[in-house]
Amino acid sequence: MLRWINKLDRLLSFSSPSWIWLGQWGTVLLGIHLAADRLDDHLLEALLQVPFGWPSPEFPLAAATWFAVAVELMVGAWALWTIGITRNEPAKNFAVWRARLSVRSVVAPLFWAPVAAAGSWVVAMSIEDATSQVLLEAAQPLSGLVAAVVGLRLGGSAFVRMVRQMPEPKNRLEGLWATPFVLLVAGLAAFHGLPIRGMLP
Amino acid sequence: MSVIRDGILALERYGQQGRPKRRKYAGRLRRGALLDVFLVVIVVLAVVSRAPVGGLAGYAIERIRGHEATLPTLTAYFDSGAARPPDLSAVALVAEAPSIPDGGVPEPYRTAARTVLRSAPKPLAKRLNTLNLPEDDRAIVALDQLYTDDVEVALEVLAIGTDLRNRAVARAAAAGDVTPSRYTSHRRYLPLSAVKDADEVVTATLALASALELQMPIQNARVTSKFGHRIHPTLKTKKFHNGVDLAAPIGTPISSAQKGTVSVVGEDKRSGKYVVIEHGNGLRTSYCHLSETKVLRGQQVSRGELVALSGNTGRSTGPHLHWTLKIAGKAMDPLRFKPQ
Repeated sequence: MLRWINKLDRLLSFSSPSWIWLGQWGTVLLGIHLAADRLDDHLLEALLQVPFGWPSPEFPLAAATWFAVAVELMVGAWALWTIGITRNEPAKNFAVWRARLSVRSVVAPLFWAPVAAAGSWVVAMSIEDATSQVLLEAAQPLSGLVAAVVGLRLGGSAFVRMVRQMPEPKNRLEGLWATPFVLLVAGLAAFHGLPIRGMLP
Repeated sequence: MSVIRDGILALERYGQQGRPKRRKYAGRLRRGALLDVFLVVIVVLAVVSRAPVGGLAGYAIERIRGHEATLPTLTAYFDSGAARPPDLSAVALVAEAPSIPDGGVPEPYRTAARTVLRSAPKPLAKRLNTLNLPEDDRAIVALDQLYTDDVEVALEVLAIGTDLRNRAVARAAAAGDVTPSRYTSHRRYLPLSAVKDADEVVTATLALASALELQMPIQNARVTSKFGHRIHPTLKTKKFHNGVDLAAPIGTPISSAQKGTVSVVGEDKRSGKYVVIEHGNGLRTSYCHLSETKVLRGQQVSRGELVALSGNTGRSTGPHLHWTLKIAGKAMDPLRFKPQ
């Protein structure tokens, strides 16, 4: 039995490049959504402060939500594209990494770390909600454990991929256009998407 | 496509190499792929149920399979887009509320809850049926038992139970929310099914209670045109009248129907000078054809506070006040809630 499991594991290991990206992308999609949901709130608050004659009182709400939807879809697509281009040999030393240095190669890991962590927390919440009826008290520690494993195996591996496997850029400013949106989402994920702010003084 | 090609190449390599030596495997392969598959499945399920991209992917898959599918409402995945009271237009108001026992839910929440809970969500109705309470007022008696000093908390606990609520509050607190115990703050941390049930009870009851507390903007005013379809007095075509017209000589004081925040003070060709007030819980009232406004945008007003003077500005055939009530963006007849 163990031999078969081992064999299956090895077979899956060989094929992992063809499916692991789905988990890596999914983890950040969950984090992106958590951040975009907060972006919607902040944007609505800001729009209501603007002394401007909106076409209708519902306009700011609709505008804020649709802007957040657009940002979420755009950053989600950017994340998928970033996974798609990071298929090079990992940079083995600093000189190789420096040769690949660009705006994108700096922004991508900065984005991936907090957003994947936020996504892992969403996974933890989903698991806790799904299992609490059966596992009762054990649901919370179990969901935390699974979230940590998701964070390390999917989020962590994608982070390493972003740092080490970026392609050499045609120019150093490559990826500049997406930076404001990507960093905005990353900032919101770091600020609102991690269950740590409540513990801070 | 390239990732799939990578996978095929990897499989081919596996075929050529045969059974790899253990040392080589440890160095080159990603160990624990079985675990990874399990994690990927969990993550994909979470994305499908929680993120708009998942909704779009589900829609695309159904279409590819040739099944009928409706495009998901992307804004429904967002808290502010969804945290609006459900449509109350079909709710028939309960005329008389039972007497309030000591410590019971106060009016107008009592009447609102009694009205809303008559069509309680299925899980709640199932739970209520197991209680040994009189059938008629089962929900309101259960609510009375849960009520201490906060109607919102009692309603939420009744709708989804203490455990789910406590969990969501703890999550909101951990994320640094300033008021984690408020429903609007921790709503996003509830499972989607619970959000639906809680919205049907909490948001709807609070909205209805707010509506029941409305007061007429002009005391003892005569209604000259009711809410609903009518022949428009200037356009002479059948039009939907989204509010009520109250007869008022120019300069009559107009008061706020409820406490709230002034969100718009404006003027246009159709409404003339107008004021819009947000009352919370998805309620908004507006006052049109004014001669003078007495409030500023962002100003807090109390119930009955002077906000404007009536007039005959905009598309109007004579001095009157056009008063509208919107709940969750939908125009409703304010007189339906019997404002005092």
